[in-house]
Amino acid sequence: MTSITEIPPVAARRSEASTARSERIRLLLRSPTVLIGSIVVAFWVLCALLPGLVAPHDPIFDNQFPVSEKPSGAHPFGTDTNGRDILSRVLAGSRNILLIAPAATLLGTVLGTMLGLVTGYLRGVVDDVVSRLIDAVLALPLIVTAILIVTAVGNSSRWVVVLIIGFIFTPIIARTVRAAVLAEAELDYVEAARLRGERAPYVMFSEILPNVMSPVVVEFTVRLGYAIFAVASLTFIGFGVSPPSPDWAAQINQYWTLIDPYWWMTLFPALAIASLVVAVNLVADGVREVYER
Amino acid sequence: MTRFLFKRLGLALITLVLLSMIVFTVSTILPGNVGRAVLGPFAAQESVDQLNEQLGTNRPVVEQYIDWAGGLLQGDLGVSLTKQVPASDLLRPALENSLKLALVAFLVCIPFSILGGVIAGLRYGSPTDKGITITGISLAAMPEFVTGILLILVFAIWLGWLPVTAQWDEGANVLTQLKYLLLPAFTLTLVLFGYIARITRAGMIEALDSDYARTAYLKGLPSSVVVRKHVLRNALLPTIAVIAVQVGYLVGGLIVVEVLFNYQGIGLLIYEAARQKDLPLLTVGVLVVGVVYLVVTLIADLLYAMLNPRIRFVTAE
Repeated sequence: MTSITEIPPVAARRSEASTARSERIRLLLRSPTVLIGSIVVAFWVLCALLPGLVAPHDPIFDNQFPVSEKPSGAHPFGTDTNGRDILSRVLAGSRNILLIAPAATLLGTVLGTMLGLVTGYLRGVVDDVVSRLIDAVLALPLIVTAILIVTAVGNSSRWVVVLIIGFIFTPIIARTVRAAVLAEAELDYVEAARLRGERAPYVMFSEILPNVMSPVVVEFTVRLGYAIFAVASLTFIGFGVSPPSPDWAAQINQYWTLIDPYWWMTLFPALAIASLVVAVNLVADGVREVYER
Repeated sequence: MTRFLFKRLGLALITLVLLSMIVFTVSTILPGNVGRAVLGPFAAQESVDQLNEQLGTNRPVVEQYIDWAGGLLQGDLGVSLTKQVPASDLLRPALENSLKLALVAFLVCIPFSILGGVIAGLRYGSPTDKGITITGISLAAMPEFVTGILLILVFAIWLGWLPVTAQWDEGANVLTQLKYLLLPAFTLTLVLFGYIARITRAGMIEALDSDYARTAYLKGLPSSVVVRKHVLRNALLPTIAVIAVQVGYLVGGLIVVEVLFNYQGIGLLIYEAARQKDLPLLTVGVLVVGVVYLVVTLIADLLYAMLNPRIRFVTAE
């Protein structure tokens, strides 16, 4: 029989958890693809936070330069039809997407984790009903649902887009978390907590939640990639935010019909989106590998 | 197997009913006032009332839903607000066009991505594997309009091999149509490649590591036979499931690709209905997308069950 004294004290268990975490971070940083991805993401975050620092010219005011000039030494990415330096607009264009996508992903992760905990732990009728609703929502591609809601609400401001994508992510994340909770709920520590007379919310959030954090972290990073995908696609077809401030997808929406002959107005924002998307997914893939081993 | 079939059918029907309720709720209740939402904030109250009367959107919500759903069951998909023709007349050709595009995309995509996944799985851990995997991840995450624009730039504008849009002249022959379809299909293909290749690769690695593969090797079969007869058959099972899920994704991708290439499919129809605030057409178009997805996943589930004896017997007990 195990005596009480053999159970490690709480502090020891905490430090065990933190060693596991630092071990994971060490593993993550050892992967060259994760490192490259992180550097690219960090660069765009920096550009979003301090737009004035990196952009050589003002990205917003019209007619600073001759209009529609090909890329040259003075303007490596050329100028647009409003006489603005495209390099400056590209460097300043990460802001919207880096604000909306993480906010939406966070909202979806928080709501989805709660929903997954409740349905996975309580089971029964609640679970059945919610699972069918989740199936129904998932039958529609994200972009179709988003277009329908934006049209119905008649508004596509920043926060509406965050809410829409967050709500659509909720069932997807709930499904993953629910599967993890189902496996955890079978384990002895959950039974022990229940026998101690703990209430369901305590068991769910204080006992089970810390043990399903790995899939939650993985879902967050993977969904972040999708959120960027979705925000950019919505903006491109004109159902996302259309701000006065520069935005890659909005730039493409504005100029892609002029792609022949003004290819530089579309190409450089497109490459910027590509770099961010690939970087985020390289990091997400590394996180998944480290957490799912 | 019959029980499994009926169970899946029943679930699909329940999902369909719920889906129709959700779509209806979003498009009819969320705007608050449908007439106002369609005509905008500056329209006269009279014309708003008139439109609500014409659409029947001034009645109780439950009555509206029953009326709408009853109509759908009898094949009445409603009337487009802006075009004033039955929605079914617009949906049918659009669906046909989208199907054509999706078919070309799948035909191009599936052999390439399965081949990529099989090669990556056979050379697990090698630079070839890493290259295929990273390319796949990057392509799968790329929004279609980005890949589409890059493809247009290279193949249509710089090289001049293919047309920029996907609109051919009336009565063009199959070969010409195919030429116009290649770029949009290829755009869709690139996004799908990553998903399908990744799952095939994972299935290959698992199957190669299994006891039956080891037994086959140990009894002296040449590796080409082991791969063909033992590994591939098992490795491709999860691929079927993933391909089905991708059909749902494909419809989402169709919207962006059809807008980009100005191709008259269901995606462009939904997009235009949304732009013009044609809520009746938009609602039924979205529902059709959901139905397509449900039908395809149902077929894939059944196919998967037929190919996989474990599912067939477990659920039949």
